[in-house]
Amino acid sequence: MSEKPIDADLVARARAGDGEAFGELYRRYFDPIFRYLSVRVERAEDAEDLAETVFLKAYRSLDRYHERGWPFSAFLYQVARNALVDHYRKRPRESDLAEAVELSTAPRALDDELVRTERIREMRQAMAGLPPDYQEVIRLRVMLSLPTATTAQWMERSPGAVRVLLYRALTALRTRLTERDEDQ
Amino acid sequence: MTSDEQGRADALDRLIDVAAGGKAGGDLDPLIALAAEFRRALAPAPASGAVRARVLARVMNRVAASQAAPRLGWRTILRPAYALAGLLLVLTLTFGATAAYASEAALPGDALYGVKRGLEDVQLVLSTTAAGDSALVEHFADRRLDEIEALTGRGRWEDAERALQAYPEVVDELLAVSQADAVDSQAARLAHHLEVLLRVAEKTPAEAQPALLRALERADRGRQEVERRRQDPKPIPPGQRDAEDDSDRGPRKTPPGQERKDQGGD
Repeated sequence: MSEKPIDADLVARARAGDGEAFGELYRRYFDPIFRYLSVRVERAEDAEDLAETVFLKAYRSLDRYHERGWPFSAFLYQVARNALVDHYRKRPRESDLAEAVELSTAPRALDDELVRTERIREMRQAMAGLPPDYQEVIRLRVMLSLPTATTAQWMERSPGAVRVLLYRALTALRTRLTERDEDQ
Repeated sequence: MTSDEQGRADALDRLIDVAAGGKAGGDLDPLIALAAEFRRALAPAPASGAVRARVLARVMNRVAASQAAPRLGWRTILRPAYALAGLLLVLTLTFGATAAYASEAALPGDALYGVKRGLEDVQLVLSTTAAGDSALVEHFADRRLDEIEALTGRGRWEDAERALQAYPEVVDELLAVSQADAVDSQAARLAHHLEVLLRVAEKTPAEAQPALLRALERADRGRQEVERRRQDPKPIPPGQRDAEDDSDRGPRKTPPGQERKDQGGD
């Protein structure tokens, strides 16, 4: 049985001009990167444009990437974060994603839909009030369902630190949502 | 951080992945339920195959644009001329069935490729029903895809590029003869085509990337068109194509088999 080539080998081959190796890296990591971008931007087409930017920059930066314990997926994540910074600089955040979520789901009864939309808006607002690293660990570990090990590599923390960060983030999020419910 | 907090954090981290219903029977339940609610409501959907293909094509196209020198011959003849069916019959009668059989494996650029395409025209001429035409065109579309993959696998880039340039017309023909009861298989076929073209994209050199991009875009638009038909299955008059599909091209020939029926009035 042949084993899948490790990322470092694929990167080395891609660096030498092997398009198939880069294609394999793309297949492995397009989905988590695209989904991460999707939770960070308002419009699906922006996520697509940003994914294009990320993989193009990654392709052009292969010479500058050295693994040294830093996985290729974490490198892509860093490129994605930089691309998001540029994106927000050009286009400040306009609104939350409630409308996009609403459109992406099957039709429901109007009342149910209104309640659900309102709840999603509350959840997003509560999220937005958290410190950035709390928001990020919820995105990666909860919304994207990334394993703790991957989340730790991407956030450049130990797995234990990520677990504590997630615990604190969810506790803070729950507190914010509870306070909001009590105010209403 | 206390050891108690670390213990609770470790337990929570484990439980949010295994307690799908949001309950584990302990005091962490509210946090587990909250994580489950967030995951249900806000988790983004995986990227579709079409998005993956489109983004890769755009990346490769931009790489190609930055690497490739201006090329000559970009507008070379898009596809070899088909041998006329009657001529093919004469050829088969003259040289025997061996040449016709051997042509089955021919690829664009091979000496016997014209025979292969001519034989396909003969089959279409002999087909007497729209369903028969549809099945043949679908079969031939898969052949064109196989040829593209075989040519790229063998590094015959010029032939592969010509085959890729001709590919959008293959999708046009596929959609033009599509039967109302075959939208599911058409959607699956075009999704498969996208996958294969995506594999091809990984091997294709810079000079063939524009043709590949057009092929990918046409397959993707074709798939979207089939999806639209699936949701709104109104009958498509023979030979009539979506105005959107016509927007970037000039007039095209009527698909094989269609012309005969329209003109014959049967």
